[in-house]
Order: sequence, then structure tokens, then C-alpha cells
Amino acid sequence: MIVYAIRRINQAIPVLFAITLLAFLAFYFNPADPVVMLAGEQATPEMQQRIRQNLGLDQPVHVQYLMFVGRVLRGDLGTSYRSRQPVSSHMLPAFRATLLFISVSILFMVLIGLPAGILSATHPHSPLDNVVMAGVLLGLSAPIFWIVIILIYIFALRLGLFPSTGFYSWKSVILPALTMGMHYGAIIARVTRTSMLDVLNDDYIRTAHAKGLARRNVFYRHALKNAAIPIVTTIGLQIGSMLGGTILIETVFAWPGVGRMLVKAIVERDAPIVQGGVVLIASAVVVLNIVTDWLYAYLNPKVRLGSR
Amino acid sequence: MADQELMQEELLPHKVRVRRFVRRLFRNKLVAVSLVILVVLVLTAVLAPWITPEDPYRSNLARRLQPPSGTHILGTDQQGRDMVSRVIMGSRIALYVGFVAVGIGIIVGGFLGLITGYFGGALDSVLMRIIDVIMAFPWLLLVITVVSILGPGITNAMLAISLTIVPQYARLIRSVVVSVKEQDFVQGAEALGASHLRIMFLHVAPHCFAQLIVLSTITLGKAILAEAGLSFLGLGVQPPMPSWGSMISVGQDYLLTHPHLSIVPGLAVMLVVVSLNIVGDGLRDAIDPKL
Repeated sequence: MIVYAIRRINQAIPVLFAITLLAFLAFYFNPADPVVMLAGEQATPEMQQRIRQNLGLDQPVHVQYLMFVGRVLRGDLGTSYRSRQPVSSHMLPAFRATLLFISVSILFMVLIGLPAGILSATHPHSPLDNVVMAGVLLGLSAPIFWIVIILIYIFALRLGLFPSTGFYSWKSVILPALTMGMHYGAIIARVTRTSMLDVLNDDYIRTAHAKGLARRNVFYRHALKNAAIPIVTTIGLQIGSMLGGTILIETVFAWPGVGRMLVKAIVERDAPIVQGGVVLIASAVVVLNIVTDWLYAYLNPKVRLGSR
Repeated sequence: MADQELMQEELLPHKVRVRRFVRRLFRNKLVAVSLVILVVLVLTAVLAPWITPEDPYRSNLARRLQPPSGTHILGTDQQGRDMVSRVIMGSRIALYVGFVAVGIGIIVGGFLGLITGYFGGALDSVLMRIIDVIMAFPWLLLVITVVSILGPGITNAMLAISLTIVPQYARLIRSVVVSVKEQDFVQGAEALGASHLRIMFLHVAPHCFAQLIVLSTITLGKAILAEAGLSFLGLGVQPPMPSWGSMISVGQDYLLTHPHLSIVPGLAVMLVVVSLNIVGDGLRDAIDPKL
């Protein structure tokens, strides 16, 4: 297990390399001149020269890239063009807001997806199953930023139950997180249904039925436990893609998180913030995927013992 | 028993197999309806410049933000442009971006899948590692980072979206090629002295066709969603071009008083993507009746 865990970390190294490369390119190809952005139009040539040297912009590209990686490893993400503040001072509160948003979203995803999938699997081809599967199809096909707008219209603007934008109280998080939960929960529901139906066809389930166990017991004790492996993995992977989805929802909702900051920075050509946002979100996804794989290996001995 | 049936099916003449496939596909009414919707949509998109009731770019501030009425079935937007015309024109843009992105995916991804699967070796390992890395990114983050490097706009949006599609095709085609290339007819062709190119394109590639069609319907839906998302963020199709995504975004400002500005284009996106997903599932079931 430990060997597997370490090997999985090693596999992430090329991904981390790609993340820093992509983030570096986002900075390098930004049309705004970093020196002018930081020093202002009226800076003296000497001052501009000093900033250029400090940032290493007089060095060749590959050296600049290595310097960037070095800075990232030390936790230094540069200075925002707009606010002239360190990027990390913007990043921390934004990351906290995103973390809160994601956590509630995960809760909704599991609370919606899991029961829907189980109900579908235990009543296959019933009207209930059809309704759930239709919901899954719609949840996956509708643009997520459109769903949240519809929810805002109904529950915030018409009924006045929740705030329509921003981050004011615990109520603020409900609508955006519910949207995320509906979209990503749809996939959980589908996987849960398939996985449960697979298991329900197995011999030991028939045995459990035959020896007179209650239906409820067979479903939850025997079937769900064995169907859990793909479900847990999917939940892990979904949390990873959720971090991408936050970009859209945070923007609609003016949620002060990393995703909205990233979009704003792209529009304002604030390259250091773009860079920091990409590194932060992508690294979080990498860590999540590693943890998911660990969990998968832990739950499924075939993976941890079978692979070389 | 199912296996036996399938084996026999392989031996049937091509015409009979196609007829069976079509019958299986249309047995599901939902799939048939979705196919009709998609055909109508493609026709609408192709004919858009001729069938819009009005010029979708002509603004008229005197009649801005009108509710749906007899002359403007879906009302007018914040610049007084006819919504029906803009939604119809939007279908053209959505499908254009979708088809180009998927086309690049098929050509580039298919080619990569063919050569990695066929030749294997170091080239295969290196390319597949790169593809793993691309797939480890959340697709939206990848797309908007690439757009931030290339700059916003419809062409760059298509390129960025296709970058997330290429790996999917490369992987799929590679897996088919790896399983096909060990079969007798490939070795037979080799023994007859056929070149690698000839074997790859004439003997191996046709076996990828069925899977390719299924994946393409699904990725087309994803590409359309991605374009809508990018344009919604202001990073894709630029105004005044009527993209469904940017129309939803503009409508957000008038949500309380004129919700139809956002709702209608969103419904359009959903209708297309739902139809594509239903057809994709239907095709998969019809091609592989075991499932």
C-alpha cells in the first residue's frame, strides 16, 4: 500500500510540471508589459531597469521559467498588476471562500446523487427510475451557469428566499451550491445506479434473498457496500471537476472565490493573478486525484496488490 | 446465447446488418425524436442567414426589451434586436464551433491514436503520458487558461476546446487499434507486403468508425456547452455575434424584469445537448446490443 501510495505521488510530477509550464506561458504571452504595469507609465528608466532585473525579465526564457518554478515552490506568486499587492494575499481569502462553496456543493452532490441512484437501482424501469434518469439527462445537458440563473430568478428574485449575489450569510451559499450539487450529483446518480444494478445481478445477492433476508437489508448491507468502490471514485473525480465548474458559478453569483478572481484577472490582463489562480486550482485537483486513487486502492485490493 | 447471436451477425451481409442497426436505433422513440430535432437544427443552422425573420444584428432602441408578441415571438433584447433571429443565428455559431472543435479532435486525436496504437514503443509511452497530463486538468480551467494565452475570440475558443477533445479521441482510437492489430487479417495484409500506412488506414481505421460516431455525438454536446460557457464568461464569441452563451450573460442584467432574455437561449443549448446525448446513448446501444 505504501509502495503504491508513493508511486502514485511520483506519477503526479509530470502533471505538476505541466501546470507550472501552462501558468508560466499565461504570464509570458500576456501582452501587457509587466514593468509598465508594476512601475506605472511615469517611472524613470532606472526604476524600470531595476524592476526588470528583480523580476528576471532580462534573462532567457528557460531561466525565467526555472525562476518562476523556484518562486512558486517558495510560495511567492508575484505581485498583482491591479492592486500592487502580493498575489498570495488575494489568493488566501479567495481560496477560503471557494473551499466553503465547494464543501457545501459536495454535500449537496452526495445528498442528491446517492439517494437518487439507489432509488433508481432498487426500482429499475419503474416510473420513479424514469423520472430520475430524465433528471440525470437534464442535469448533465443544461449549462450549469444557466441553471443557477433560473434558480436565482425563482428563489431569489421572485420568492426572495435567498440573496441573489455575493457572500453575506450562510444563506448565500445555498443557491450556487445547490446548482453544483444538481449538476455533479447527476453523474453520481448514474454511476450509483449502474454499479448497484451490476451488483444486484450477482449470485450472492440471490443467495441473500433466498435465505429470507429483508429487502432493505439486502440492498443496504450487501449490495451498496459492494457497489461503493466505483461510487467513491466517481465522487472523488467529481470534486476535481467541480473545481473547474466553480469558475462559472462563482462568476454568475459574484462569489468572492478563486474562480471568479481568475476570470476577472483574465479580462483585466492581470497576468500574475491568472498564474496564481491556475497553479492553485490545478494543484488542488492533482492532490484530490491522488487522494481518490489512494482511497480506491485502499478499498480495492486488486489495484494495490495486482499492479506491479 | 448473446455471443452466438453476435457471431452470426458478423457473418451477415453488410446491407442486412445496417438495416438491423437502423431498426434497433429507431425502436427507441426518444432517439427517433432527438434525431429529428438534430436534423432540423442542422438545417436551421445552415440556412440561418435566409430564414431569420429579421437581421439579427439590426438594433432599434425605440423597441428595446419588448415582451413576446405577434411581431416578435420571443420579444426583443436590450438593443431592440429580434430574439428569434438571434437565437436562430446562435445555432449557427454553436454548431460551427462544435463541428470544427470535434473535427480537429477526430483528425488530430484519431491520427495520434492510430500511430501510438499501431507502432507502440517509446513514441506511444511519451504521447500517452502527455495525454494523461492534459486529461488531469479540469477541462474548463484548461480551456480558459489557453484562451488567456491566445486571447479571447471565436477561433481561439475553438482551438482551446479542441485541445480538451483531442486526448479523448487519441485514447479511444488507440484502444481499438491495439485490439484490432493482433487479428489475423492484419497479419495477412502484412504478409502480403502492405505498407504500414495502407494497413493503418485501410485495414485498421475502419474498425474505429462505430466508436468514433458514438464519441462524436457526446463530445459535440460537450463542445457546444463549452462554447456557451466561454462566451458566457466573455472569453469566447465576441459581441455583436449572437452566441447563446453571451445572450444568457446579457440577459442576467435584466433577469428580474425580462427573464426570457436568459431563459430562451439556455433552453436552446439544453435542447441540443439533450438530443445529442440521447442519440449518442441510442447509437451505443444499437451498435452494441449486449449492453
